[in-house]
Order: sequence, then structure tokens, then C-alpha cells
Amino acid sequence: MTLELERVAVTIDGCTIVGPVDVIVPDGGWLGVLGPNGAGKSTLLRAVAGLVEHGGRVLLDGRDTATMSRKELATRIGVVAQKPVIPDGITVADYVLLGRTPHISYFGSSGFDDLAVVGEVLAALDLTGAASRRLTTLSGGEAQRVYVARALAQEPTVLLLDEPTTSLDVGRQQDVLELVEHLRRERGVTVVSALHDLSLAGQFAEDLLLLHEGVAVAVGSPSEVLTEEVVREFYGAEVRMVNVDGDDVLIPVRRVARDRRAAW
Amino acid sequence: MLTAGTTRGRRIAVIAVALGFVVLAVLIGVLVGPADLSASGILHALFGWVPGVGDGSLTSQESTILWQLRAPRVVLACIVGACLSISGASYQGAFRNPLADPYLLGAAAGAGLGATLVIIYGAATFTDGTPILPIASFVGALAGVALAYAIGGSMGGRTTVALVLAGVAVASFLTAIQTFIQQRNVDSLREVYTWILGRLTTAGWSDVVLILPYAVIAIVLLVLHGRMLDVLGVGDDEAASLGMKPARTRLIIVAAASLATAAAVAVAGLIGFVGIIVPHAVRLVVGTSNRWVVPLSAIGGAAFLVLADVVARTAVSPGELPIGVVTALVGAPAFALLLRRSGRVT
Repeated sequence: MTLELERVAVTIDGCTIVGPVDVIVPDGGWLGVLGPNGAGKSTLLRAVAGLVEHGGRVLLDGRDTATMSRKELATRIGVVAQKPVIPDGITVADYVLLGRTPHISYFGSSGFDDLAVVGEVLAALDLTGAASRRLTTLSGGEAQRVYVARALAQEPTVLLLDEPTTSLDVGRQQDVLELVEHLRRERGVTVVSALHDLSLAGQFAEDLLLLHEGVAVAVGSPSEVLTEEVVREFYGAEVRMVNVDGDDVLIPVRRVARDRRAAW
Repeated sequence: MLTAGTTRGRRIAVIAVALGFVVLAVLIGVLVGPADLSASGILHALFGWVPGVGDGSLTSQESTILWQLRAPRVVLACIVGACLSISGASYQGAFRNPLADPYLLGAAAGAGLGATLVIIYGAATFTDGTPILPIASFVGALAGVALAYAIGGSMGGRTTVALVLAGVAVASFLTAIQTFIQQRNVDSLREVYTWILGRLTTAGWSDVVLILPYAVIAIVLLVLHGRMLDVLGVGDDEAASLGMKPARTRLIIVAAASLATAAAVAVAGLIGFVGIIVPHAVRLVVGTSNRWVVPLSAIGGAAFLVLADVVARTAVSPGELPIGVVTALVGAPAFALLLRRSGRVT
């Protein structure tokens, strides 16, 4: 499903936190949202999900999401929060079942169809063996898969991930992003993710949007957005772009050491 | 999904056992009392239509004791216990706070003020003979919660923290007024105090009839909201992303839970601890899903309060202990034991 942001902006108490942002994510595309801490990445994702009041329009296949009910929106957009709230003592299966909420009527209860979807999602994410375990006993990487599983149980066409790799070791970061890439190809979901790691973002996302103090300062393919100059200007970081096996990889270099050598 | 299926089977078994437990508690409740009624006579009066049950019979005076004193009191204990427990379970879910109890948002303080005003300044009954005290307690409880909700909503977009803080403020304020009035009228102190400690003395079926409709509406609504409480468990933001309207759903749940609390408080005063211990005990047995915790709390609360009332009636017979004292004396150590056990498991 094509996701289109038209002058999307979030204003709180007269102060513009994000935007206006214009960007189009094609059906099955992957947009990585970058920016230093506090740039407004999470707020932009919340606006797209309709969780915060915003100006401008968010269009799904040309249809304004403002015309959809909360429930209808939840069947189209699945959100994986940066730090999900875990209910006490909940099992993996029960947690993923919560993703069926928009498909169940207000006083209804989950039926066989819902359990079938949960079973399918757990199997697809290699979580079947963990179904009856308590979510809090899982490792960071497994737990992240469970959060994605809950969003997938919504059967969304758009998946929003807010820094899905935070607090994971580098191997698990790659696992999660490979999983998202797999889901995008297998299920055709459109992905928007806030990402912290610039190199990983450049390798996985098809397009990047760089936010700086809420303003979209660069939009385009990874090679257009991730340049040494852009990173220096907006992250205040000194990096070198190195090509590894055809992928551009950013390597941070020491500023202080370089200055000191020059002075001596 | 084999695990989900077997868990469901186990939980249904637990519900059946819990219902059996209520029946047992009710039987004990009607069999035990200061008047020496024969067990076979009572069983015959209750189950005479079943062939072979009980061959004794009751005198008409004994029959009156059974049907106009013991039976309504046991039924009232069931309703009050179910109301307080289900209300506590719902508040704990809606506020994601294990320490929440039915009196969290000012229901107790509101009811206390209403009752004190009537005891000290009011008439005992309306002109048609309807007692005023229950109605004043009922209205006071609901007014306290409504006030907390109005203040909490105006100060923080109906977040749970804003609501709980507003509840604390309202409770302190109303309790202060109540204490002030009470201190100015020390001759009524004992009566007010008795009400606050909670009691289940009844005069026939009138109290049962008075609160039954509210209790039924509230319990049915809350049981139907069990799944919604589970969704609220992931926080308002994520609940909204799952297609729910958290503030509105919480308002409905709090309104229903407060109705249940008000119904209980109206006829029984302030009975503490039931709303905390029973839901937590239930969670230790069936896990934390509110789809099961909410209905099982109602069932468990009914059985618990009937048995607590048996102790209240018999421990210092022919006198009576305030039931609030019994629920805390029995409940607190039992609760501590449960917590110890669960601490070892997890």
C-alpha cells in the first residue's frame, strides 16, 4: 500500500515539533527515518499512526487516514513501539493475540480465526516454541521478534518500527532488520522505521529521510542522503564513507586524536 | 496453539471449582449461626424437593430465622463480596496498578461523608419508610468518583496518574469534611464508626433487592470488558495503535466498577481488603489475563465474604465482630502466604 505524507506537521503548544514533511513511500517500500536524538523521528511515526494530532494529510493508497476510524486504521497500520509496555506475567501467545484487537468486535472474544493468525505469525517468526513462555523471560532479540509478531497479527499493510534495533547487540540488530526485509518481500508490507545506526539504515532501507530539529533536511536514496558532509553537519560527527562489497558503510573517526596530531 | 487450548481447559475447570466453592460457602453460611437450627432441618428446607435429602423439619420460628435472617445475609455477602472483588480487579487493570482497590478514586470517602451526614443530621427513613443511609452512601460513593474524574480529566488529559492523584486529593478533602462533622457531633461517633468498619446485618431481603440491579449491571459490564482490560495493559498509546479508545474505555470500566463499589458500600459500609486480596489470589491461580481474572474475582469474592461473615458471626458468639476486621485479620496473613508462595515460583 502506498503511503504518502503531505505536509505532515506536529505542533504542540504552538511549537512545531516536526515538519512539514512531504514524502512518498511506494507499495512495499522501506523508508528509513534518520536524525540525531530529539530530531522528531518518533513523533513523525506517531503522527503517521494517528496517535498524535497533526497537520497535513497521511494518505494510504490515496485515502486520507483522517477519514478512517481508529479501528480501521489499526487493521492497516501496525506499530512497534520503541519501548513496548509489557503487561505483568503475559505469555508470548497472549501478547501476540493482542494484535488481533482491531479485528474483534467490542464485546467479542478471540475466535479460531484469530488463534490461527497468531499461530501462523508465531511460526513465521520462529516463535512457536516460545508461545507459552512469559514474555519477560525472553532475550532482547527474541522479545523484539515478539513485538513485531504482535504488529503482524494486526495483518497490516504498513509497518511502523520505532528504532527496532535499540539495545540489541550487533548480531541481533542484523537479525531484526533481515526479518523486516524478509517480511517486506514475502508479505509486501510497506515499512517505515526510525533507525539509529546510519550504516545499517543505508544497507537496508530503500529510501532515507533525515530529520534535523523536526525539519526534513534530506530525502532520497541512501547514497544521496548519507554523505560525509551531511553526517558532519547534522550529527556533528566525523565519518568516512567506505565501500564494502558494494555497500556504502560509514566509519566514525576520532576528531580529537586527529587535531592533536596536527598540533604537534 | 495446543498450549492456549490446554490453558483454556484448565481455566474452565477452575471456574467450575470456584462455583462449587461458592455453593459450599453458602451452605456453611446458612448452616452456621448463633440460633441452634438442625442441619437436617435446614437441608430439608433448602433441598426438600430432592428425594432423600434431610428428613428433619423446622418450626415456623426456625423457618423465619433461616429465610429472613440467614439466607438474605448470605446472599447479601455474596453480592457485596462479588462487587468489591470485581471492582478491585477492574481498577487494578484499568490503572495498571496492583495496589488499586475499589476505594482508589474517592468512593470510600464520598460514601463515608454521605453516611455521616445522614447519621448525624438526617432522618432515618424517607416518609414512605425507605431507609436513607444506603442511598446516601451510594450517592456519596459515585459523587466522590465523579469529582475525582472531573478534576483528573481537567488537569492531565485523563492519564492514569492524573486520575489517581485527583482521587487522592478528593479522598483527603472529603475525609477531612467527614472528620470535622464527626468531631463536632461526638455522640454519634459510635454509629459512624460502626458503619466505617463495615457490617452485613440485614433486615430481610430489602437490602438485597435494593442493590441487586446495580450489582448485576456492573458485574455483567465488567466481565464483558475483561478483554479490553488486557488491551489497556500495554499502555494507552499502544492500546490506541491497536484500534482502541483508551480514555473512553477506561471511563466505562471505572463507571461500572464504581457502580459495583457504591452498591456494596451502600448496604455494607466500608469492608476493606476484599478488593485487593481476592483478585491477587485469583491471579496466582489462573495467571494475569483479565478475561479470566475479572469473572473469577467475582466468584471468589462471593465465597470469601460469605466465609468471612461466618467467622464474624461465630467467633465471639453471641456477639459479632465487624466483618471488616475479619477480612483484614484473615485476609492479610493469607495474602502474605500467597505472596511468599508466588515469590518462590517466579
